[in-house]
Amino acid sequence: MYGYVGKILRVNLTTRKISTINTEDYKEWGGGHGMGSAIFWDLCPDKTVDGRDPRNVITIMTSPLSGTLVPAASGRTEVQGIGIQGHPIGWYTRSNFGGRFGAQLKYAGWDGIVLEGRADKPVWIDIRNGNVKIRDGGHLWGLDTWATQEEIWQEVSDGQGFGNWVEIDSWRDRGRTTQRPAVLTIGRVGELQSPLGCLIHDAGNGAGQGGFGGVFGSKNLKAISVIGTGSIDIAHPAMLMNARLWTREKYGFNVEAPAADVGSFNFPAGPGATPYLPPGIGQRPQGCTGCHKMCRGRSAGGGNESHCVDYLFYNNYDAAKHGQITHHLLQAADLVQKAGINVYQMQTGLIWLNHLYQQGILGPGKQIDCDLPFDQLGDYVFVERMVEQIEKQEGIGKYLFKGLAQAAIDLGRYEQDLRSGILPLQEWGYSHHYDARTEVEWGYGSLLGSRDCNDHDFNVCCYWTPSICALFGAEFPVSAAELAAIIAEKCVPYSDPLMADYSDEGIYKEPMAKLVQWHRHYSNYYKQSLLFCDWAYADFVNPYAEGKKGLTGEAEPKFFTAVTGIEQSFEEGIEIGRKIWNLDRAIWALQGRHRDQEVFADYIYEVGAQPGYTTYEIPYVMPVYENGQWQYKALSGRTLDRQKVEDWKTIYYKLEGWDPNTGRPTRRTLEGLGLKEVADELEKNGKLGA
Amino acid sequence: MVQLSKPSKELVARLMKKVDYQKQLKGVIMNAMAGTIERSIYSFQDACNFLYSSSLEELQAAGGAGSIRYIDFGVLQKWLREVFGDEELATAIGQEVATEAFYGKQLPLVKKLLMQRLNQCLELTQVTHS
Repeated sequence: MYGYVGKILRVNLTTRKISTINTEDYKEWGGGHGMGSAIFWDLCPDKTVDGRDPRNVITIMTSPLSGTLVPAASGRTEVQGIGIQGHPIGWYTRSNFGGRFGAQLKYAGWDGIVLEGRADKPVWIDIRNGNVKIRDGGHLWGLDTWATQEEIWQEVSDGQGFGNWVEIDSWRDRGRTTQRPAVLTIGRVGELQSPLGCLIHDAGNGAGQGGFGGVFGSKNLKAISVIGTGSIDIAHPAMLMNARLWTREKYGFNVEAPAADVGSFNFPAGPGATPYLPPGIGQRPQGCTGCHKMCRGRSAGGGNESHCVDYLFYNNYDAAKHGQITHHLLQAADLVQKAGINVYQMQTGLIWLNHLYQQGILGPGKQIDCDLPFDQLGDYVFVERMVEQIEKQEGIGKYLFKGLAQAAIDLGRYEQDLRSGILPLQEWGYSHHYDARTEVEWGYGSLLGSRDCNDHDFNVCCYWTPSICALFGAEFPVSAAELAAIIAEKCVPYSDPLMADYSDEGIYKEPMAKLVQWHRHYSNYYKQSLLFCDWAYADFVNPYAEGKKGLTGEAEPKFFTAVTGIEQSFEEGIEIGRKIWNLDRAIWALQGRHRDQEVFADYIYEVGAQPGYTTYEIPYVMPVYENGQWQYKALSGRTLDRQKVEDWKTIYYKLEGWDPNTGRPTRRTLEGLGLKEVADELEKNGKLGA
Repeated sequence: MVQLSKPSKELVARLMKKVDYQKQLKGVIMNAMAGTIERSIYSFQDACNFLYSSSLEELQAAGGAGSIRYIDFGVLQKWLREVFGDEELATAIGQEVATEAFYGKQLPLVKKLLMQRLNQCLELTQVTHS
């Protein structure tokens, strides 16, 4: 098998049995998410168990492209299992992180890791090529994520430290490396099984959604370390190199002649990280294994590898307090990475607590007693105190520790604060990321799934780029009509000329359901299974490309074939994505999912005002088809109509072949996908769609 | 740019005072990657610090890490008028905003005006304190 290394590591933490699964048995699923869901299906007989139950099965999967030279597809790793962050239940869910863990796992000879059971005491898993040990982790328990990694680096390198040879095998040419082991670990909140617990790798690669840090904690698993000295067989090396050069020449960032057009935010973005650093602090670009973009940064001042919400969650408080961004922000970013704490929940929690504090509801001796130092909001010490309270489960931390939805319930604030929007948990208890009221494909995709979908495909070309152009008076890289045509052309096999219509009417119609359908299937296969990075793919509009049509549709199968030797069309990949989506849907059905549960938080239906007045209203400029023509239009102020959302769901369920009354897959649909045993299991449990 | 007259002690006192919850100003941080982040603003100084401008070129270069600070300038004018009674600053903002058609180009002008007023306030506050 090309691309794959042939076996998946299976570790039972209860029995300490270490065994292997043949990758070939799951190859039809591609890798990553697809393989993970299929393995979960086979190895977790009772899908209704809680995420902290030892019977929960966790998969950590690579793809055939991991560790290769496929641009922006080599460094991601997919994590799945029953989560503990969602509300009202954790759902079977997923997360994903970058860095070099997946590549090292492949070089060590493993396509993935399956975790079962629960260790009787803290342990870590030590993988050195084919040599796998479950080691005592008592001395690591209580350490932060960075200290844990440093400790393991020292142990694996026999105390020689970074830069020296690490002997991990007896082969003369392939038995040693100067690489550090790639370590995936949890911090204190993870150890304590909090839904805020993340998995952290290196300085700032995190799998935050789902609460998998807490799941690791429930399994008494502190860390997994992997170091490998093997390699990956590529079916067509020359084709792979040529494909990489092709993307660089036709679609990549041109450092000597950067495109003047707005819109080079995805595949063609240039190297660099956050431009928002304190004065005098420089940085250099840093990226995941094999990536051409290098979208993160390393600096001398801190905040290393943090560049998303992990960095941004505190910058406005810092700037508000100090007049500019300072070292307080960098320290705060590093602290949350070291604590292994979900920063989306931290950010939303900060917004919520501050609202309550300013209303006089929360504070020392108030209705909600809280001694967080709000007069020091913006200083590092505030975040330090908040994290400390969460870790110690004291003060307000004893509520936040359980996750924001549960905290709000325990404090008697859940319904009113979700209705007003001061606690913006858009769906399933996950933090508001992009707005379901305007950017509906994001909201619908999240609602139909298990978490904030975090898929930026249409977000970049339909919202961010047009909105920036509108805010600056810049020329749109393509007209709304051209954008709609590109999207329709690329979204095979569901292409519809009106699928990018975000108008007040369009968002409830079948073409939008087709767009969401394509989006879920594309993401499930290409981004979550083959692990093409969300920050490069899908590439719809590319300012460097001929006709400004991005590489999506052509690049993905080209790279897949070059690496694996398997001829697979883009549409065939979308069909595998549909199969994965249906398997996940079946698992959710077994967990009790019903269409009645698939509703947004009340503020999405009830709160919508003009920019500046209320939660998250910004100049959302998106393509609409109105009065027979395409145009970009500002959509702020919109709320979703409950009944129309319900009607749209019915349209969507029918398109997917799901029972419109329950939202559950039917036998016909599942059998059509080769999932007869899944249909049988649903039927046995009374959860099969009619 | 409009030169603001020296504010009265009373106006400075109002501008340097924190406002209560009902009188907050809403700002939003638009991020390419991290999404939209709400920011409640409870003081004039906070509003000044919140707004900073990035050029289109800087946003392009920042890629996914790009960020825009957004406050509706109409709302900002209303807030300055009704909450602080700073008619002059509100009017000046209206004049500056009218010279440019787009938010990205209006923002640096508004920021300069806000900072001009904030510096006046800080200067007078320091004098008062000494």
